[in-house]
Amino acid sequence: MKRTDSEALFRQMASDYAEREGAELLREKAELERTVTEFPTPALDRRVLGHIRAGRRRRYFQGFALAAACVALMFAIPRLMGLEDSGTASQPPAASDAAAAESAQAPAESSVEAAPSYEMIPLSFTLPENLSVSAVEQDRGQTIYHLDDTRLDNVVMTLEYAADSEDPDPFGALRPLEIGGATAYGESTADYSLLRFEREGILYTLTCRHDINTLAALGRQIL
Amino acid sequence: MILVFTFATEAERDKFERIYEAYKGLMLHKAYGILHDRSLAEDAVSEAFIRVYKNLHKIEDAGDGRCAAFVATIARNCALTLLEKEKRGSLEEYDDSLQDDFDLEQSTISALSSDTIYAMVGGLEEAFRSVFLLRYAYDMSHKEIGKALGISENNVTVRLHRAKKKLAAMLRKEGYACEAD
Repeated sequence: MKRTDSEALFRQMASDYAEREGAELLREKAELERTVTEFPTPALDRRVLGHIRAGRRRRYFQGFALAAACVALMFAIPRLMGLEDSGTASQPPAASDAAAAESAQAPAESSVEAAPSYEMIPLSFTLPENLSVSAVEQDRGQTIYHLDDTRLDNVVMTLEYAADSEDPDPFGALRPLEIGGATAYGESTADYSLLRFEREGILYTLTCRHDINTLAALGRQIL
Repeated sequence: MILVFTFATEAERDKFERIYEAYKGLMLHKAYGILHDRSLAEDAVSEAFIRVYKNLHKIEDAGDGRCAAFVATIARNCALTLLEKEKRGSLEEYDDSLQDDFDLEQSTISALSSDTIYAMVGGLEEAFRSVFLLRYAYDMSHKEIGKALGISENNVTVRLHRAKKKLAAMLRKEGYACEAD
């Protein structure tokens, strides 16, 4: 019957309950604040508010990067449109020679000045059902995937080309583990679990807070 | 876990910071009541604020009771999930039929006192009550609830059905509704 009636009734009940519980919670909160004069939470503040500060820094960095890109374009566009050549032609012969000498050196200089560009490394496998990508970052040669875990054991997964890795011994001090017929290297401490392995030239580094089996399941998907 | 909170507007960021400052103590208190461990309680509250951040649009006024109920629901659930994890247990054992067959009259609501509603909904286990509240008081989809509570959509459906079934049974017991067909 009357499924819509039931839905409306449940909606009303839930709404009434939330209002009443909310009022009780506000009273409880006021009581807590009255009785507990100091409630320092430095670690929690760092963990939660630190994310916001990081966000702010990132916004400033993005603004700075945008401005830098605009300046670079201002210099690059005339060069691309050949305006530099026409400018050289209008100069007197001596200046033209100097410019020619400069331009001969230019390729070497530009190769020194050019900032290396890094491409994001895409995922080449299917994530386990419990994991979903919540954010992706590119930090120089490393592509960092933040994976939300439905079981509250979120994973941070870093992909980088093994040939470009700055770590000369990526598996040093780690314990070899057999995963999916391949060898991975891991470590599990009270604070975190870590799993590292290489596949098709890509070095994978997986970390999570609680259970290395979360990482092993993900590793099996990749390997 | 490195997660960056980004906000579309300064007002949103201010809202999040107001919620954090206003409710972190209460959320820790609730989480501690479940976990009895300060460090674990902070883990739960930290995770809860990530979920609050992701559902910030569901909160209209950071200072009202509905906001308090919302953040407390999320915090309690994060604490319970962590507790289950600590116990290496599982909440996934429900096997009820998912067919809705409740026979409830809309007119019932006018006959119910606020105290009765509070007692009935409050009598649900937290796992069921939170799903019920997020669905009906905060109008969240099963998918949104699943993400907010860290459970699968399927599990949301099962828990919601369980909650409604229990409420329907309570209403029938009180004489407010007929037996299901």
